[in-house]
Amino acid sequence: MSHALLLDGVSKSYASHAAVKNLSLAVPTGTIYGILGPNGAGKSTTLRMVMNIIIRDAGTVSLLGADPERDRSVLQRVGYLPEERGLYKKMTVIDVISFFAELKGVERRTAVREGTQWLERMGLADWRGAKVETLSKGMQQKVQFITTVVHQPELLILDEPHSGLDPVNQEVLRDTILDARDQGRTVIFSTHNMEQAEQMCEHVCIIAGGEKVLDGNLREIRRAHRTNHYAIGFDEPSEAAERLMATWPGFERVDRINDAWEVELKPHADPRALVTAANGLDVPLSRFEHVQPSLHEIFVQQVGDAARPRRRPEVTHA
Amino acid sequence: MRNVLLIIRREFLERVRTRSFVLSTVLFPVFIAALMILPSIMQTGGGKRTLVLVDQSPAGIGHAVAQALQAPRQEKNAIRYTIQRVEGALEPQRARLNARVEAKEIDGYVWIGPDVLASNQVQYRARDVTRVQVVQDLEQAVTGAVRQERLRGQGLTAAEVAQLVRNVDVKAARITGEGEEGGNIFATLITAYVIGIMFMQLIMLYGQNAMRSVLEEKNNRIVEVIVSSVHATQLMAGKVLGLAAVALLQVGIWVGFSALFTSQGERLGMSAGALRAAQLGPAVWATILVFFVLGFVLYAAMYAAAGSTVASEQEAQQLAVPLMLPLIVPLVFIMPVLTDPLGSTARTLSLIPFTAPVVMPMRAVATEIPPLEIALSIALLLAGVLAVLWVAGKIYRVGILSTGKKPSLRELGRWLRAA
Repeated sequence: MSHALLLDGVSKSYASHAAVKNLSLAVPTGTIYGILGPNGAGKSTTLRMVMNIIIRDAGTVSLLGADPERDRSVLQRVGYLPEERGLYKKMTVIDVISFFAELKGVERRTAVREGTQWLERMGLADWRGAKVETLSKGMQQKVQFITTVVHQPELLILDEPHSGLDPVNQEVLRDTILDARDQGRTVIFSTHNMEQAEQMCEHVCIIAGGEKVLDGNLREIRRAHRTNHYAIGFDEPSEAAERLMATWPGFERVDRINDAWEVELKPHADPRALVTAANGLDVPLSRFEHVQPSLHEIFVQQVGDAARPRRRPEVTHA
Repeated sequence: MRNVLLIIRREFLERVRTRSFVLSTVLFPVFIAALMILPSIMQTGGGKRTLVLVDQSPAGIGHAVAQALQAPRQEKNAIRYTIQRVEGALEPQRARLNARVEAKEIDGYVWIGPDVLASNQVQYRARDVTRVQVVQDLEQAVTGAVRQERLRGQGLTAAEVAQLVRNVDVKAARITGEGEEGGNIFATLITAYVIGIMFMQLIMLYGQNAMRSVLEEKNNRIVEVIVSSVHATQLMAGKVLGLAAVALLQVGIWVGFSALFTSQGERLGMSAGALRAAQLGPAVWATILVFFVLGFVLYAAMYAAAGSTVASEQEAQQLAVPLMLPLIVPLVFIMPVLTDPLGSTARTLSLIPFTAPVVMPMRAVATEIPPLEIALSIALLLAGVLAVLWVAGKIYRVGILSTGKKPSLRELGRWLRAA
């Protein structure tokens, strides 16, 4: 498998505080990769090191096969949306978009054409010649996003892309990210919102306190954290059901939650035997579900104390 | 390089398209032109004056005064007088004369008494005695007549008298390699002064512009997007050069204006001195240009670096003051530099990169500087520019991404080592 990004033993410290410690991760090409962690975990610092905005203290970075510290040209093939974003307020929308595209090596005419298409797609065609300062905040965020993707980068690096977006624009953003993946591009984004990551990512890396907690394919992570918990429910109240739930030998633990049960099976108990037994009752089985821990639960379980945000000292990115 | 050009273009267009640029570019020459033309327009009120001369004077002095006042004059702004000479004492006529002034039949009256040779006084009454030109003309005419009469009393002929009282004119000219250049001392000094002050103002103005522009990018968080495509040093270089291009355009427009203006100068009634002041040789222009560009880059880089270390306009203003100080030094020494442009003060200040950009052009206008000295000054200035760019670039690179409080000097030192 080829990788769009490889980090190996990357570290960064500020005066009195280690922001990122010995971080290694691998982002497969053509996937959506989430970097998750609480605020202050070191997500932005990591992405800034990848973009060569700040210089790492140790470790190696391979971005699209090159080290951005030695070969800056590789950055032209990346679209970067920083956590802290802004546009030139006095420029017109299309001028801003084509300026940023040109900085990424796109010809002016192409930049204007592509920018116009993106504006149409985002429903901003009427604002093409307007000054940025006249746009609403949501519109400005769309324009910012266009500046990130207009040069058709192979890799998109989005730092907290969802922050500050209303639900409609979050939807637009999600579609665009999925489209980019479908076109064979790689998308890396950071977030502290586990649900979003769960919906979109194929691979994740969870970091806390500057260190990696776990990473890998999301499905495999889930499988590794699978539990023996099941949820069971019946169409209507039934004595036979009550009896089964009280007496089935494979239960480790049984919790009654309203009309349903949440149970934990003994390590070697076979869930299929439980289904067979439940199906033989006088009421139909309405729910039988293997309860998987959510990413959030895995995260909390893994990170524990480290998930608590720590005070970040005044940062100067030396 | 392409990226630097893109940034230059953006910076240039953004500034040139603003209303304030258009206004200041157009208004400044209009203001200067007004300063030069208005006085001559205001003086052309000359017109006519009708005065009654009440003459009790001995030896035809009154007659001579009337003649002198009514003589046809060359100057454009001269007043044309009509003199009604009446003989006799003033008192019997005073009331009637006052009435005629009130009725605007005449503009005023002059009384030359019988003892004018001894008393040295004449009386003038009019509606507007503040009209200085009339008083000056009167003084000149009466003084001339009285002086001639006194000298004639010593036995001199009229021709001899005229010869004796002639004024002396000092004609000054600048000596240059190209020969003698016209222009008087005063005009040259004023030109040098104006160029020096204008440089200082422009560098300060645009330097603070650079500072504000850096601060805008930093505060609007644009900078992180840009430095992910462009090296921070390229961003700074593009910004400084873009501003330099704007400044050059502005100065270019002003020079163009003044060239056009002086070519029409005589028609517009400008004084000959002001006309000649604007006519400098190509070598002087070249010197001015080189020092302007280098000085501009030097200071703009300093301001840009300073702008990167602060987080608000207020902090920026505080920092702007110490950066201005080296620019103010030439102002303090402006008289020694201008009056002795080859002296040691002028020489020393031209060798210091921070003062040379203002001092050298002033000297170049005022006198001819040995080429070797210009070369040395440029070399030192260039070295200064490179050193400042190097330090400023490092501070800038760290500064634009830093947040929080202003760095201490010790932290700045760490930035220099780190970047």
